[in-house]
Amino acid sequence: MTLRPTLPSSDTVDPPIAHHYVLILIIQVIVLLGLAWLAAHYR
Amino acid sequence: MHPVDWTILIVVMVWIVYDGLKRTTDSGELEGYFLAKRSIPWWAAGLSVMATQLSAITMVGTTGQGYTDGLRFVQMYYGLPLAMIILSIAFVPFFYRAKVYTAYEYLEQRFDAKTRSLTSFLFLVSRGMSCGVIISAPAVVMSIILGLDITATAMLIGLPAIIYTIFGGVQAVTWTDVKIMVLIIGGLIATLVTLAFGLPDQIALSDALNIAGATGRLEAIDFKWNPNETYSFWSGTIGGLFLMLSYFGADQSQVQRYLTAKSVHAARHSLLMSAYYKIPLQLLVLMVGIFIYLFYIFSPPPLLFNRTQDERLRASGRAAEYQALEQRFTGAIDQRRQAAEQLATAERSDNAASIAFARSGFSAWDGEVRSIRQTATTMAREVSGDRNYSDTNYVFPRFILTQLPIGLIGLLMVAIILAATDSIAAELNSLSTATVIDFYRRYVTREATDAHYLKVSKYATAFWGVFASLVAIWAAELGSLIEVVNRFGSFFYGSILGVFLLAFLWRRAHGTAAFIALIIGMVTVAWFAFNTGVSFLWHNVIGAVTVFVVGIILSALLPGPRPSDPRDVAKAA
Repeated sequence: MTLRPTLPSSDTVDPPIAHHYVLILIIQVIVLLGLAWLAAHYR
Repeated sequence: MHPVDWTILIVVMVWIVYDGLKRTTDSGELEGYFLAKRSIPWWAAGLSVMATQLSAITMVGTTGQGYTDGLRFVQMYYGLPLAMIILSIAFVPFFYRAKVYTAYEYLEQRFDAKTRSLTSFLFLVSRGMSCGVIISAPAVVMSIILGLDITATAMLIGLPAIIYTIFGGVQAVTWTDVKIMVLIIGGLIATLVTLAFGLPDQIALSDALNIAGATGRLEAIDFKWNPNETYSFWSGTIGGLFLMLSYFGADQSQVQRYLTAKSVHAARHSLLMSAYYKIPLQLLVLMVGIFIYLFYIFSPPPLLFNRTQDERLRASGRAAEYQALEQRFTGAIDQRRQAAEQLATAERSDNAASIAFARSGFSAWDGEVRSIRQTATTMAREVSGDRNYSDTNYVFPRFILTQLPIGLIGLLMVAIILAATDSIAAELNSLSTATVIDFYRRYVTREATDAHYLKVSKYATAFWGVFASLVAIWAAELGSLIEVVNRFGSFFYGSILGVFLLAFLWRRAHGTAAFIALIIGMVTVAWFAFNTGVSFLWHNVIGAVTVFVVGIILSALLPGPRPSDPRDVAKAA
């Protein structure tokens, strides 16, 4: 019986991911600015 | 529907189920059946996360929202990207390295059995019921659109999900999700392109956007502070943040999607996919609704999009009143079209006075059309006795069926049905996992072979499939039940998140405190729900904050077992 799921060996090192967090927040701001422009331009 | 569209619908459905089962390997072991032996690539797990959340209710209801209200609905998702980042940093490593099958299993390692069992039980009750709603809501709409019996439609939606989930486990669910997401996105883009190219020759894209903008349909940000309003920037950013944290971090139907990924890094990537693409996807769905609205400015829409309600009103004692309303509607539609053309001409003239004049004329006729439709909907509610009837849900399916070319109709119809199917499959898979891992293996048979647990898992999937189908048929008859289920779920969604926050963030927290705090959190949310008009998005904030604060206080006041460090739990597992 499998009591606990196993962890693959590839899990030993975590490559950096922080740049994605920054990029997501930047895109979020750009999307909000884009939507604000859309509403203002086609009012 | 044309026989070609029926053929496409049936062939795609059979192929999706067949291919899902064919791609299934290692489902002869429990870890393969529930977690795909952690072999799923991040992009597939990510698409599965998105597919689970995008149900037929989204396809039909959200396009309808775009048609009637425009982009404002998207505000609900403003908290999602930040929620995904928080989950990626704070939740994923704990779940993944604790080597658990269910999110609630972690709570026993960290707290105690009663906290695990209560959270898992609440998940089973709410998800079991909502699974029925996921079947019934689109079944009601599609049965009318396809001209099928409601039970047959519910089976068309639910049966494939039950079959491939029982036999294929999580791998069948994930790979089916991938194909369905491609189909849905492709179908939506094809519809949007068809609509954009289908505008009258004298109306450019910018004219169309000016017309939509004149009705406020392009306003996607409302900064007004009003906790009673669901669709505002603040409710969406703060309330939505907590809703998404609860949904993606404390709900097994989502947690299980990313637990199948190859590594912590891959699990994080699969969640971040939603952070990148969820808002654009919602905008795409809403834009389809807005362009259907624009289409019907230049091409006469029906007074009611639901043909059954239309026929019922014509045969009722109020037929004369309905016909008079329809005549008024035809006149108003014609006036609105002329006003829209005048607005487009005025916008090109760049004359502020004539633009303002044309805009007010168009807004007045658009308001008149809306008001007549509202009267017709109220009449339909009174005649049918269904006080929750919403004609909005029929806009997109009726448009597909009457305005799109043969072939695309079949593809979009199957996309709507499969959007429901894949959400149900993910729910069934997670319900079965929680039943077997959190209850059967915990309380009934602790030591048995994989083959034994697998057999029980398949029975559990079948049980939840039958349960959901019964709820679906019941819910279809009692429309208001859907509201009750949604309301019931919101009572403890945020509170369960509070328990996980306590587990991850407060080292001194212990099981007894967490358990009592969870109950106090749910009671608090119920009080707010019944005694205030606060939007359900804020219920998640209230529940999570109450449980977290009360949990900290009780952990200090009450005697409890020696607190365990959340990091130790992950290491020891």
